[in-house]
Amino acid sequence: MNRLSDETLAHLRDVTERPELPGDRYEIHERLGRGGMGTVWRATDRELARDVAIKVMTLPAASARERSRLQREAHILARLEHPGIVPIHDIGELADGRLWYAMKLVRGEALDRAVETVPALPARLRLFLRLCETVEFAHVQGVIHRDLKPANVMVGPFGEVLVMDWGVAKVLGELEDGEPGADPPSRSAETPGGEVTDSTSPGTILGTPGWMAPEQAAGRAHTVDPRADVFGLGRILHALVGPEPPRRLAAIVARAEAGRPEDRYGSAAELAADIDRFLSGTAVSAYREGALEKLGRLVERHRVAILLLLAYVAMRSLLFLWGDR
Amino acid sequence: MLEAVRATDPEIRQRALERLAAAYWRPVYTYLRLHWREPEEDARDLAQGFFVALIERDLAARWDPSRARFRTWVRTCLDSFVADERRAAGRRKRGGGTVHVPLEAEGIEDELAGVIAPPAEDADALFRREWIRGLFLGSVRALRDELRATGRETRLRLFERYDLADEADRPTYARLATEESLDVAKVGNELYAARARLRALVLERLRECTTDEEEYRAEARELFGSDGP
Repeated sequence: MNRLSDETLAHLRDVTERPELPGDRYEIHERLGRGGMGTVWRATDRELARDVAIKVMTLPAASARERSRLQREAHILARLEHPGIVPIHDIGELADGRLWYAMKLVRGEALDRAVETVPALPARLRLFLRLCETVEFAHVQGVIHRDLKPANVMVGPFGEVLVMDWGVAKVLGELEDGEPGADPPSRSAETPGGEVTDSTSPGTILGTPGWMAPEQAAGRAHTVDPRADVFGLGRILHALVGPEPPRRLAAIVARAEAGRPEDRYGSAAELAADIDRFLSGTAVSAYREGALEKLGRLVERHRVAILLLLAYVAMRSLLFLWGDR
Repeated sequence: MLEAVRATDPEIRQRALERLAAAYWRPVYTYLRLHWREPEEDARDLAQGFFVALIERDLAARWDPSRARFRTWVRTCLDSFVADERRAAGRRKRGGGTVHVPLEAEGIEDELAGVIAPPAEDADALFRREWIRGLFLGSVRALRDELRATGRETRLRLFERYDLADEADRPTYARLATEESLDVAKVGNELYAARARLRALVLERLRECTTDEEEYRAEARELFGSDGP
């Protein structure tokens, strides 16, 4: 055989990647997406008669350590029961050693695409608040995402916001490779897009360039705290508000994406609270207002009441003048 | 294999380089034809000359794994080699060197018959696509030999009829089942077994063409985890 056309080659690549799950519970359909570590497929769960998403690792785990790390993501998802986090249903291993897990099928769009149809700033900020709530929930559960970016946030058809891809999340209190007391480190896996989505050896960069916190980019991924996710949220907020946001909002963005962790909000909840204040027209903690700005904001916030008051005063004045005649 | 390419023992290095030439013959030849637009005979001469240079000038010893994947390095070397050759006055006939590479240009020429102009893609993508094609082609041949040797002719026929056919000619499982007097589930199982073995053979070859576990896994992720060329 001397020939293998482009079409046949593409078919062979597809069928040799397509997983064959044990038993007949799941029927695999089309590929939904690919990441650095694996591919996500749409599948039908025949037992429960519903569609699910199945993530299958590209290769068998190279070591017991890597296997446990891949299983970690599934365990983290199982641990985080929240409407903003995709629930996991099942986990297993293919005959050739590749690990897989089944999760809820999310129908929607990545945040950056979803907001294209949401031009109003307040509506965008309300989506962002839902994202903050989910990240805060994970932090309270002791989990830091470490790879927050629009591509990892899905917006469903009813405006539900889901945080995806917890593959490089850190569980606070758990030792990772490279930390004192942990096993020797393993190697990293770099995706074609330049993002590193696995491995935790010291000095290894985890996350996505442009979205990860400076302390992560400096290779100190295992020492980060929730403020690394606050930075990621700040970058997302930056993208959502556009190039010329109002000053108070720009100050919130600047504090969230500050270079030094100590200059950022201490938590996603604090960031959300400031966004909430901005939306309700009250003073935000990230911005010190001058007297005129404060007056302007109060006028803006109470515009209707002030207009009614002015109308009332004007009418009384007219009546007073009319009565004097 | 690639560690052996850099071995100090000349015999080990020589054998490794000959295997290397066999593994890279196809992408090198196609790249010369499509990217450098070399005519058939010149492309064959240049490919032969490139592998001879790789061995005789000990070029492989200069490869630094920390700077590039081996595949990328080979392509870069090939570009330099062709540029040098074009600068040189007159082209010598090559092929008298110490390397024996399989000359399967006729088969490749059949494929290139429909490609009139070089495709508008970057050089690395073109080289990579042909490298992947070579990996699969060699693995399909190995699978065929293996299935014949173990008497699994039915599995081989099903695989060839279904997975090696162009989409327009691909029969349904039901039709294959009728043709082979099997039930449809059996057809699916046989195809699954053939594909699983093919995947294993591709990965075995990939491991041979990469330097270490890290490069192997990175290449495998791109091979099975991307839609790229």
